[in-house]
Amino acid sequence: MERKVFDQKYRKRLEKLSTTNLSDALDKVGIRGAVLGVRPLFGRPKVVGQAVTIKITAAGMEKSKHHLGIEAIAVAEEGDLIVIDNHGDINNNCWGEILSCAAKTKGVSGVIIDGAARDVDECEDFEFPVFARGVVPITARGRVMQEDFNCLIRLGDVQVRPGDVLVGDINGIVVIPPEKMDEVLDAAEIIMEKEEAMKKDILSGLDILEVDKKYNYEQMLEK
Amino acid sequence: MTLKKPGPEIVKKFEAFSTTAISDALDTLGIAGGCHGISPVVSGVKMVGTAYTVRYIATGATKGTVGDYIDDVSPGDVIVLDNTGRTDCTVWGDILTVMSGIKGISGTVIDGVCRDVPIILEERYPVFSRGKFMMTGKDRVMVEAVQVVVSIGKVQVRPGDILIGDDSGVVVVPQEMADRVLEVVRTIDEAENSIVKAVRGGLSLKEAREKFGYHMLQRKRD
Repeated sequence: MERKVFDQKYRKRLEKLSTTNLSDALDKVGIRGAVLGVRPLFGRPKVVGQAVTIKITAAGMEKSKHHLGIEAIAVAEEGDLIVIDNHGDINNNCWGEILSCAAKTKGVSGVIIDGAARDVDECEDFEFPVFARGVVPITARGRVMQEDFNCLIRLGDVQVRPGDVLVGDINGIVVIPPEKMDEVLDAAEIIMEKEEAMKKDILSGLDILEVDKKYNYEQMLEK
Repeated sequence: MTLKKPGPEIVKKFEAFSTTAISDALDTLGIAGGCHGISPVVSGVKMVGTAYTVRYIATGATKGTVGDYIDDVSPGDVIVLDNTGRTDCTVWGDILTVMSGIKGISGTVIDGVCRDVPIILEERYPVFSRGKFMMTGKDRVMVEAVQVVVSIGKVQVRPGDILIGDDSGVVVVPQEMADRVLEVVRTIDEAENSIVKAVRGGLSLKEAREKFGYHMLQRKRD
């Protein structure tokens, strides 16, 4: 999907939805899209964007042709998200302050890492959202290296292709295939509206049992 | 640098050494080679061979299969499967085990898990993995590439690298370092044998270890 089309057609709608609404919608549509355990390292950021992916592997005799991350930043467009697959390894770094500085300057929305990051305080100062499983002080040099970028990767249990749409907030990450975007968004908006209405009823004094029955909450995701 | 897959005459020389001694030799040379977290499924078997590598990725909107790569693997190779440490679906089972036996493949090393363990045990086919499970990898993972650089227990493995496995686990020897590693492992092995002989002959452990430089055997040499 063209970035311009995505921004015009979908960005605003996605920004209004939580990852929980979107995860429920993905369940309803029957797509595995929720990523568990990858959370913001600071603050309560909300990020929406298309993926520029990076894949990490072990360092060794074969050397990487490029410094981890720089090509992905170079090809990224404003609003994109950098998404890094380091197989959930929390003992090795794959993102730091220089990369945050460069990505922020290009207008990248944030970075999402199945692994760990460092220089988190500096990243916070740059106001560049970092989602990861952990934090380490050590360098990636000599330990891990970039295997490829803009390639097929795995984030948690979910496949991510370059250009797939990711939304991240304090609850985690969801991955939405662009070809299912309309279906997922329609379902998520219905769920959000229903939940808003339920809250309104509760706040107006209606009993929780009544509200639950009225909105048929348990069956909400049934097809 | 173009690499040439080591011939059987070099690979065979590693059969004489334990993974323990080879790991110490790699430490001496400053090479990371021990595949952390990877254990034998069958105990009492030894594996030595050159890597044929396969890399897996999750299925999703892009579909694929678990592959028919085995037809391209040569006798004496070790099949190296990088399933990124996943323990929730298997990439090795009975059919591949039987096929490998027929083809004379040396063994299989998985950064992940295998199934059909009774057949593997019956065949005494060397499999090294993160564990055992029964759910299939089909429609969960797919082959992304073969004969590429992969990672096993955080150690890099390239096609043609030498893998040695025994009851202690798996070590990887970079192919261009094979001769150098053999040289060093011989000295380590000799020293350890001499220590055992000396203590059997009545020397105290401290005396024996001092005599043969035990505490320095793995120390990195410049």
